Amino acid sequence: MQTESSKQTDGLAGTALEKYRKDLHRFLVRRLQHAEDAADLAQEVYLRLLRVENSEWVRKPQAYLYGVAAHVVFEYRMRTEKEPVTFDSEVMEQLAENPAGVQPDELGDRLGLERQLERLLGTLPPTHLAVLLLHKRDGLSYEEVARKLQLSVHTVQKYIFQAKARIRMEWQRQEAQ
Amino acid sequence: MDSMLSTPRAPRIAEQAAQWLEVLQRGGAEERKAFAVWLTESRRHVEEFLFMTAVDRVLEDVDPQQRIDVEHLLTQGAGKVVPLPAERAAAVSAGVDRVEPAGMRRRSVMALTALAAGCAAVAVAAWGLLAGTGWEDYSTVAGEQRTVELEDGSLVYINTLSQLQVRFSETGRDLRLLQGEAMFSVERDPLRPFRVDTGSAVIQAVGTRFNVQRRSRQTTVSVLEGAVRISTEAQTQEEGELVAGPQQSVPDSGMLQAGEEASIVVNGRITRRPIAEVARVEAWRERRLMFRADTLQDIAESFNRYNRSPRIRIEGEQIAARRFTGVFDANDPESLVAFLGAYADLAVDESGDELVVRMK
Repeated sequence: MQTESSKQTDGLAGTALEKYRKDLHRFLVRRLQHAEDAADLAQEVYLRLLRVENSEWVRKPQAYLYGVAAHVVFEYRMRTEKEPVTFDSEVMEQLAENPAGVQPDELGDRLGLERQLERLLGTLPPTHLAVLLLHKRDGLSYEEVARKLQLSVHTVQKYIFQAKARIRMEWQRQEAQ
Repeated sequence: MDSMLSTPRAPRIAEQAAQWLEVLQRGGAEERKAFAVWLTESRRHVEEFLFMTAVDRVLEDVDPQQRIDVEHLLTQGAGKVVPLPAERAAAVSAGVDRVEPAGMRRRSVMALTALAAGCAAVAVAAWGLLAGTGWEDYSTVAGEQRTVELEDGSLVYINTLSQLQVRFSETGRDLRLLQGEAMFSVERDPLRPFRVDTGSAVIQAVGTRFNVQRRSRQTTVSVLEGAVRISTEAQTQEEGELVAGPQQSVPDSGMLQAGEEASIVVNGRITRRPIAEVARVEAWRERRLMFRADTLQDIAESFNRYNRSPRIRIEGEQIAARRFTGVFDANDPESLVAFLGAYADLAVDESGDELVVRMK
C-alpha cells in the first residue's frame, strides 16, 4: 500500500487530527473493556456516516469520522450524566475548536493503562514486540528497524499492524473475563 | 445488541484498520476517498478503526520506563538478529546490568544515536527548514498561564510570571527558563536532546514529564515520569550557545528518576529527595496553591504572582516568618484573608489595592 515510511503529517490537519484523537481516545480506551458499549458507539457513528451527504466527508474522512465520533461520545456522556441532551451545531464547533482533550492526564488512569498494556505486550511474540518497541518507543523508522533486524520494510510494517491488532483483540478478551 | 459485535473476531479487520491509519498519515486524496468507502462498508470497520486509534494513542506512551530490553527479546525471537555485543559488554562492566531505568534508558539512547547516525542526514535535511531561527520567546504576565505545543509535539505548560525561550535545531532542542516555572511533557527524539537551562543547571530529558521552578536563589526540578539528567557545569555561555555538555560526564551531573525532586542552588550544589506529594507539583496547573508549613511571606508572594490586584502585603518580620498549611484557589486572595481571619491574633486591612496582614 505504501512504500516509503518517513513520517509526514500535513501540518495543520495533522495537529487537528491529533487533538481529536486525544479527546476521543480516553473515552475509547475505557470502552475497549465494554464490548457492548463499543458496538453501540460504532453503530451510531456508522449510521450517521451513512447519512452524510457532504463532499467534505470524502475529502477528509478521518477528520469527519473523529468529529462524528466525538459528537456521539459527547451525547453519550450527557445521557449517562442524566443531563438533557442539547443537540446543536455549536457542539461540534466547540469540540473542534476546544478539543477538551486538553484535560491533564489523570495519573491513576495512566498507571492503570500502563499496567494493562504491560500485560498485553506480554502476549505478543518476541519479534513482534521488539519491532513495536523499536518503532513506537524508541522512535526508529521502519527502515531503521528493518536494517537492525535484517527484515524487509514490508515485514516490519506487517509485524506492526499484526501487533496492534493483537493488542486490540487481547484487550477486549482479557477484560471480558 | 448484535452479539456478533461483542465476540472476539478474526483480527483481520483490526489489521486493516492499523494499515489505514498508516496510509492516511501520508496518503493523498485518492487514499482518503478509498478510506471513506472502506468505512461505509461495515460498521465493524468503523468500530475497529476507532479502536485502533485508541490503541495507537496508548502505544505512544508504551513502556516509558524502558523496562523491556529489546536486545533480550531478539535473542528469544527468530534468528535474524544483529546483536550489539559491544553495548552489552560495556553495560555489564559498568555495573548497570540490574534493572534500572536510568541505565537502560541511557544505554538504549546511546545505542539508538549510533544506529540512527546513518539516517541522520535525511533527518537533518528535513529539520534544516526549521533551524537557525534563533530563540523564540514565550512569557506570561501575572495570573496568566499558557500551554505551548512545540514543533516536535512536546508540550510546555508555563506558569504565571514566567519567561521561557525555545530554540530547536537539528542537533538539539534547547530551552531556557529565564524566570518562573514550567512543566514539560517531552516527546521522544533520540537525535535531538531536550535541554532546559535555568542558569544554574541544565536539565536534559528524553521522553519524560517534569517540572522546573526557577527562583532567585534556587532551581527545583521534579520528575513525574521517566528520568532527567542534571548537570551544573554545562552552562549557557555569555549570549548564546549551550555547551553540548550533558552528554559528557560532569562531576556534578545527576540522574533524577520519576518521583524524585532536586534543588540546585546557585553554587551548583544539588540536593535530591523523593517528591513528598505529586499533587503539589502539579497543582499550579489547576491554579491551586498548596502550602505545607510555608512562611506567610512565601504564601503572599505566591498569591501575588497570580494577581495584580489586590496585592497581599505582610507587615512585620515575625509574622512573615510564621508557617501555614493550606490549599487555596490562586485567583482568590480573599480566601487567604478569610483563612487568616480565623487566627485571633491576626488582622487584615484593606488599603487601596492592598490587603495588609499584621498583628493585632
